[in-house]
Amino acid sequence: MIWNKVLFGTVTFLELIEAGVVMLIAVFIGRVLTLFARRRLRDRISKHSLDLVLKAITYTIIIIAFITDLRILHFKLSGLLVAGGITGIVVAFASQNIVSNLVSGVFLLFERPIRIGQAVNIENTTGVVEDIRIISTIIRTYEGLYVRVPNEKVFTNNITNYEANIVRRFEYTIGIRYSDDAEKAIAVIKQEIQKHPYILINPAPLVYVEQLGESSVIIAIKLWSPVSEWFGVKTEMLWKLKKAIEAAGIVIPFPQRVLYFPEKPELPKPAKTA
Amino acid sequence: MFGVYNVPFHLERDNISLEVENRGDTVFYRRSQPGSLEKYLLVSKCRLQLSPVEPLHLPKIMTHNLMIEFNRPLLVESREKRKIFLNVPLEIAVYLLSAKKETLPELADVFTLGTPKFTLYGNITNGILCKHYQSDIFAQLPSDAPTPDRAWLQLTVHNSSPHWIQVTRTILSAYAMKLYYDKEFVAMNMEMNLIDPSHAETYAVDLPLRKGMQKAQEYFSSGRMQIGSHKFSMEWGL
Repeated sequence: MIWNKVLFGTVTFLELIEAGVVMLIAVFIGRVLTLFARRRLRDRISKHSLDLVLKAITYTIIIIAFITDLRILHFKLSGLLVAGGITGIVVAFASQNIVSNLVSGVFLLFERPIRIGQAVNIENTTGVVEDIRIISTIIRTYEGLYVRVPNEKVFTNNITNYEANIVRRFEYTIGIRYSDDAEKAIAVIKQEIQKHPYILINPAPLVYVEQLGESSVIIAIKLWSPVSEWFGVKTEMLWKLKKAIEAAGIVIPFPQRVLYFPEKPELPKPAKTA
Repeated sequence: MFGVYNVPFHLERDNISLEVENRGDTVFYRRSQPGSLEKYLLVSKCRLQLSPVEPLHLPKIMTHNLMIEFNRPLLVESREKRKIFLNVPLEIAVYLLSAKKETLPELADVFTLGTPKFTLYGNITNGILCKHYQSDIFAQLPSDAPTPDRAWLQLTVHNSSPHWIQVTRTILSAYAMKLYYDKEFVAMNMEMNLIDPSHAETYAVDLPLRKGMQKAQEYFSSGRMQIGSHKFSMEWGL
């Protein structure tokens, strides 16, 4: 019978098929369970946590299936450990980067300095975290590029997470003429700030004369906004402030320099020639 | 203003302008004040309900908490329990009520006559975002009806500590907002338990302020969003 034909070692064709079926069933169960878990948990936990749960389910089922397959194919785990001793050293040298990335990935999952969907900067790559995998982290840059960063680099480099905190500050500086009333300008700016829903009451906005510049009185404006709205507010507010300031009769001056001339400049007399 | 309306209908009052009309096989909804919104509704037969709703929807749902900051601080004696009245912002929801029994009411629109603002409660690392509103404290429910951009909150303040406690704000969870309305005003009822000078809890009291008030539609009900507490713990100061 073809089913009992030994293919390699003591493994028969039937056992090989059996192992394949076990893995297929495991993949199928994994898909069904992750689909079920996704539907049940989608509205209850964050996307990041959901992805972790789904990955945990998938990997657990695959590992169980893999161990079952080893038994079906007559692999002895104890034997594998002994036999794997020398092979292990060779493989370890060859795959130290992969192992390093794997371990870094595990630490990243526990430490959670970044989460899926957050805006981050890792090793001069700025974008949104698309996925945190076992070996690598995927970032979509603001230009829409796909960047794969090995987890070891993510773990060992400085990470700037722009969305780790719920609020974020942004600031402007606006120059007004020396002849304008800076207190009036500050009042106009505060009034405009008050109208915007996403500029927070607390931490309080700061508006003050920061510097007496060469061409203008510099007013500093420091505002806090929910991190999810930060960029939109920042891009929107500056023009609104400019319009409000100008509507109040205050002028944002061009760079200027005041030059003083003596009323009757004494010109050098031409030298008399004999 | 609040209640159930048949299509077509037209509402024009208190700076609110709504119009709903049949256009062929569809229903056309238009809000021209405050703001503007137009949408088509593919529905065979429906009615619309205007209902007050938890004031956390606008400009969009960003938090489940509303902070009411008092214009003047409130000093509460130890073991004292008193009622005060505050203003809270009012948001008005337009729900679609389908003729099909199995279909739940659907939120079609929310608008307000007020100006929404947000604030942070706590520190930048661990704090929470809250919708912000500023209110005077009233010892009794004022007889004059509030403007259409605000509702009343009856807050029972209970100082269960052995200290005098100064309170400058209260925070309400969306899940604890049980709004009731009648022809004159919209109101909700809550309790604030002062545990120590920097810690308090606020709870829902699911009772109308007076007889005859109708319960408003709840968006943040436990049926729709199952995570959420009816209690808010104020741990970052009062």
